[in-house]
Amino acid sequence: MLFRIRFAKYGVVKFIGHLDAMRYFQKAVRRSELPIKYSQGFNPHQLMVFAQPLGVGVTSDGEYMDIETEDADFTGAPLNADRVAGILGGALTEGFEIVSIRQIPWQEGTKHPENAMSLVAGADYVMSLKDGYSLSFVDDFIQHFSTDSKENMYEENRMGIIPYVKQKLEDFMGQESIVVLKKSKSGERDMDIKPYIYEAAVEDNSQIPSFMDEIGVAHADIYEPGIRFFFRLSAGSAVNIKPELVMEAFLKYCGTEFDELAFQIHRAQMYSDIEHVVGL
Amino acid sequence: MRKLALSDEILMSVDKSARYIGHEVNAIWKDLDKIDIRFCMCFPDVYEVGMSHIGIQILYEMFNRREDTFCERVYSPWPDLDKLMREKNIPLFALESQQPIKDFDFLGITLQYEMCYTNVLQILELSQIPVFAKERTWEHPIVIGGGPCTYNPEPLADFFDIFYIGEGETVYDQLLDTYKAYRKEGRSRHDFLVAASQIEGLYIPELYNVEYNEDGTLKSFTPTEGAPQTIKRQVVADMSDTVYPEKPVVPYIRAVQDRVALEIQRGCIRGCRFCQAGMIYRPLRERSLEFLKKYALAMINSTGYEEITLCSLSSSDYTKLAELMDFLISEMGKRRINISLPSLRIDAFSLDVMSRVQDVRKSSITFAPEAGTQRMRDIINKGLDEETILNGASEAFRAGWDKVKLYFMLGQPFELDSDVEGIPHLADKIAMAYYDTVPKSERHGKVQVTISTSYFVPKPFTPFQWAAQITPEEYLRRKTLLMDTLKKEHNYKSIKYNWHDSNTSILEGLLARGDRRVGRVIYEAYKDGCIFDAWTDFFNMKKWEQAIERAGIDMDFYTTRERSTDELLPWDFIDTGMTKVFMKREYDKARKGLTTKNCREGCGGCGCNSWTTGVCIET
Repeated sequence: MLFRIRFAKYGVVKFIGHLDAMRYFQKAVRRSELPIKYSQGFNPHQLMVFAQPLGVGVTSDGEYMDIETEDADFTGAPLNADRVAGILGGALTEGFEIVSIRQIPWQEGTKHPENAMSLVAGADYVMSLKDGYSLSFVDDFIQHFSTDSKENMYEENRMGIIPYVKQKLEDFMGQESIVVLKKSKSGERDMDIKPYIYEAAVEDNSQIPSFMDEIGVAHADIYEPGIRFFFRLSAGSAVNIKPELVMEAFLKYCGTEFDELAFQIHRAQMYSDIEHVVGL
Repeated sequence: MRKLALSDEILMSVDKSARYIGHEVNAIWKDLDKIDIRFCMCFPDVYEVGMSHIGIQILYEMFNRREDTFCERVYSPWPDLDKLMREKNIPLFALESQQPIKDFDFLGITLQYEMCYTNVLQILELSQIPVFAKERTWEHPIVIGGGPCTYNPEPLADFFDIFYIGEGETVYDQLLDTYKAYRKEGRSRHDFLVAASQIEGLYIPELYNVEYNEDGTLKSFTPTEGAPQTIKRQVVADMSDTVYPEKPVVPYIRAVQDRVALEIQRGCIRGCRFCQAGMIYRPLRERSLEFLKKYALAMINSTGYEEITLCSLSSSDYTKLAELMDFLISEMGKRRINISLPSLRIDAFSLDVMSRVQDVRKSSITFAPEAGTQRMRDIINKGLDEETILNGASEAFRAGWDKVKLYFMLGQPFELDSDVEGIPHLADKIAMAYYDTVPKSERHGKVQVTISTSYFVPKPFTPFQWAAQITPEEYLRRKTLLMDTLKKEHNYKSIKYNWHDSNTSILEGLLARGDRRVGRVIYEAYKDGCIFDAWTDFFNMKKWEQAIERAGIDMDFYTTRERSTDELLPWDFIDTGMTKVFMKREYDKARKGLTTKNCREGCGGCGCNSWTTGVCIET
């Protein structure tokens, strides 16, 4: 049987890297006695495929993995998505959480369905400005009508800030092209990323844009400045656009330097079909 | 979700931030309002090394079984974080609560090897606890040391309030109860330490006065305030009726020992004369089969590890090994758990077991003859002869192995050049055995024989505790002699030679047999930036040499000087159960090349039968 598991990773375990997170799940499966299948050979490994690595420091409500199991659990009862959620969920510790599980229809002996890794086409991200950080173009804007001390500046002026940043983001997205220097294994090259930014929005802590699902931000941490950017970007093996790249380009457009540490990145969801907004 | 001691900015800028977040599977959490005693257990090396140690897991379990105590863990911050913590004045914190260790009641530091001593000072300084015990008040935790290095705690005497001599499972409850009572009654820290000195096995260095002779040797070692003259090593009487973790903490990042560790027995019957572990953990005590079966399954189920390893000094001596292996192979096989078997004697039985649990093609067979000639193996009482080695190797080759590792030591007492030359000779014979055993059609290229030599460091409480360590120059000469001899061997192209660095071993020699004055060297070296000395990337001999000079210490006095067996040694106040008469006799027999039987063949009269347990009362 084939199951696709959507899970969240949040809190202190955001510092666990991708390979260690994979090893965490392998151990969790063993603890849970979920009847996972193993590969053949002298060193059999669990049949478990992760959709996409998650960077160190990034939280998520939209991680996916595929697992292949026997048809029945250790009590002999037939497995289904709810059973898998119960068995595996009980072995997870704080910071890892199953969001949903569905069975992928597949008749053993027939062609294996495409796995989560090869299906990834797009992803949603939230980038929240963290405590103690500000954006210089926003600071300049507030200077025009506020003489107060810098403390709580964002909180007091939020009513004005969000529409201002929204306008900036709209202008940014209205450009004909957004050319950035993209680094890859083969080197650096200029690339127009505009076609790969499907959605871009900014909101305060109280709202999420209409294109994003509430489930996707369930474990996104909330920060004092109250400025949250939302992006839907191309992801996966074809064209993978990191949200930092978009943010860097946007801030550059606003004349502000990008500081990686200033933002908490959160992956909200992953899609197999961006055009029709189909989650993995 | 708990708050971390370090900011996201710091955690994103240091290597392997998962070392510092705690929160691992099976880590324990307690309500701090319901706790009387906060104990922080420390392994003074990097997280991945410290998390591999079962001793800490046992004590962690033991302390946390007490309702009034919360035991947490800490490891040495890697130099990248060390630098940031100093810059930002962040106090070192325990992993579970992420709170500063300076606010704890106890800081327990395990001392597993001498080269971690500067890391002990790092732990204290980063914790913002005075490095010198005499400067501490009730504002600071009681700093207590344990582990094999406490069999000569003197070089660290100035930095510790208490040393716990022996196995941790026995008198900690008494210590914690005394602590609680004294705090409750508002007694002084000094009064508490005096009371602690009355608990068997606890050594409080500040209660002892040391005097030296003009020649630098120890003149007297005098207890004050009613502290005992000798400290009796603590020994667990029944290894099947004692604490062991059912749920060991599982690190997120890969530890050095990334597997379940099952300690099948403690102690060793072999009596190799160079081996401190073989002497200080006497007598051999086995855990029952029922105990091991129960904990093996419990630990596998609670951790999700894919491998289990047996821990002991010599697994082949476990009397029910065959039954244990049958059980493990069947139960672990069902669960697809690998089994690893270190410290096995190579014979038909072990080869059969090993071929059932590991990939013969990929793994290697390890022998530790420790010496190249029979003469020398008799001197060290290794109890392994050439015929056994060659037969074992041939059988392994027949079973499909073609990689052999050989461990030796250079510089053991009474070693001659001919003994050094014997090492490559033996390796050559093993290579020859391969070509004699395996027909050409079945070979996969050459056999791979690897020789490793380490530089012998005499240790306290061994028959060689009086012996001279050879000089680094002499070690290098013998290493070169070995290499030159090797080049002349028939099969030298099949033999590889690795040798251990000479600088760390001579320093280890200083720290292992040093007295209280050597503490100054550790302090000076640490102050000059020495840290993680067990790591070649960080070890800096030049700084150590300067520290030795500044401290006014004569290195040769401690390392290359042969002691008279009448000399008062810095560690003589410890009673391990093994008598000095026995050690002298063994040293003398070594000189004459006479062997001593192992404990099962016949009692050697070491004195440890006074514990009336384990192999001493086997029928």
